[in-house]
Amino acid sequence: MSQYQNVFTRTQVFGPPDEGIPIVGGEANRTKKTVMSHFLGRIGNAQLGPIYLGFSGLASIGCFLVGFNIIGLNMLASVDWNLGRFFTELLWLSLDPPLRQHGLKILPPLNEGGWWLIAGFFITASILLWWVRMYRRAVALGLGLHVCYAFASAIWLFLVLGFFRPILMGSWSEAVPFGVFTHLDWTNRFSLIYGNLFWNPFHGLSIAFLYGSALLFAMHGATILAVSRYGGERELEQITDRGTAAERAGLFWRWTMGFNASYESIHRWAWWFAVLTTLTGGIGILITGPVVGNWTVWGQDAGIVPRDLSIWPVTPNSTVSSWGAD
Amino acid sequence: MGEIVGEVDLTIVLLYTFWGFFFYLVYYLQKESRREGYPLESDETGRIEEAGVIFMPDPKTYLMPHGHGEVEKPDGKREERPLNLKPLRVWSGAPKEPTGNPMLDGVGPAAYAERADVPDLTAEGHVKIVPLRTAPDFALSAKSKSPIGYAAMGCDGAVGGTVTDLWVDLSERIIRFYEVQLEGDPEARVLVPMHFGIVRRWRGAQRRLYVHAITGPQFADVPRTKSDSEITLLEEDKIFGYFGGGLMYATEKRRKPSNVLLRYD
Repeated sequence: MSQYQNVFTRTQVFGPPDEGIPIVGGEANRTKKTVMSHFLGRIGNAQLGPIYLGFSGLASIGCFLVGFNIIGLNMLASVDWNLGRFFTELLWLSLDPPLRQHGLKILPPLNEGGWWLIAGFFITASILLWWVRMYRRAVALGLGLHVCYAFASAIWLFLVLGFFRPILMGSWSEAVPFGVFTHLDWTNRFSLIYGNLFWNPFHGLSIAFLYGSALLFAMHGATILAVSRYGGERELEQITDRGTAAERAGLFWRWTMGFNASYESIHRWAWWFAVLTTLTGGIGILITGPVVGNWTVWGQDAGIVPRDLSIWPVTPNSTVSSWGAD
Repeated sequence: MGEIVGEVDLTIVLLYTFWGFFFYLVYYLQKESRREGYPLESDETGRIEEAGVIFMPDPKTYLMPHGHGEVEKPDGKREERPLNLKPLRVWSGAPKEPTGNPMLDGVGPAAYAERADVPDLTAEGHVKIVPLRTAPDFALSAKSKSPIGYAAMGCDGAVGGTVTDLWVDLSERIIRFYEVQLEGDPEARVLVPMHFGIVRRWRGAQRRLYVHAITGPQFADVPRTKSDSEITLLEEDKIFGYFGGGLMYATEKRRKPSNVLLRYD
């Protein structure tokens, strides 16, 4: 049996409800009720609430529900309002962007993409309002703005895909459809049309940062769990008053990879890698089309794709085995 | 498309601009990582190894809550404690052994840091980690089984005491320490860090608090707290160090690697 497992809290401590940090002039927007949940307490904090509502948060939820329902009802309409088909074919259903001939028209006919624009408007408004909520709550609590800046990086990629790039290309038809498999298919087709996104350096950077941030967060999470029995998960206190947990965590990485981050800087590392994932991804998508029409041709000009594949066959080709023909 | 001059195109300009930014970012992040544990010092001479000005971050001031003033990092402080260590060989880099009780010498796996000798506080400024008996508003949830009353057993199967109370974190609402009353001494109580103990069934039905890090008799040597209802950050670290040390020094078998080395004499 393992010596210590702290994934589940086996013995829970309940106390008077924690009302949260006082905020000047903002108490009225907080719900008063708190609920103690034994189930939630198994994996984290047992207390649910108080929840801050406020205008931007409620407006965001409202806009999301409108957009979500427009998408759902369009999908339902596409299967003749048959609920059985709706659920069995849900993963394949789609609300597509306007037809190419409508260009950047603000409201094309609803059945030729108008609904997509309306749904996109509400979903975008919802996301931007949620960003405002993140920003205003951080200011009210006297926090830094790290969370809303990171969220802004993700919004940047979202807006590039559905707003900035379609405008540069002169047509909403360039945007991504709302649908599970259709947005995956869009991604595949986008790569094929533009000569394989594989050779787009910003696409590569985005993947590197995606894997990199996943790795950094996994390393960090594992390190903190590993030193939690030395009090290492009380991270804030360890930043300004280093304990043996911080020393052991640092020493582990210095021994295993030659250098280490600190209790503060690991968060800066992971934050930047996460932020750069969508930042570089957005740049890569934005220049695909408006700046570069074919990434294989661009790669040939940049010297990363050989012009004659027979003399320098580095381009991956999964249809041919390196062991020769079957 | 996108060409600016000759073979330079917008993508290349963007890409190299990004590389420049990223190079600076890694430099900045590496500097940030040096707020703790730098500059390095030589194991043998204790002399500081100059990292160079460009590799050290400028000091940054943290404003502490509850009137604890300001903390500056890096602070340039060096470890003042004498190291209870003696090298096993004369050459540089030779393994070192603790000179006294290896679980209390405060070196190696039993190391602790000179943290502040004040209790950790909640956001409201109250003492954060207290025994349940002094926190009347707090209790174990109805569906939780209380470990109070269980025998505390070491890795050798010997019982070192009985769990008499639980020290809880009032902010996070979790148990931080088991309070164990020592066997045969009703006055003496020690704290066992929550994650160094696990409740197990012992020989059938009886539940016990099993502590793998130390033996039964070693419960008596756990560093004590000055107060019976408060624990300072320094005291916490000393307790953590003791149990961490036990993982390598509690029994003769666990001390083996250095014995292997000594056999070559």
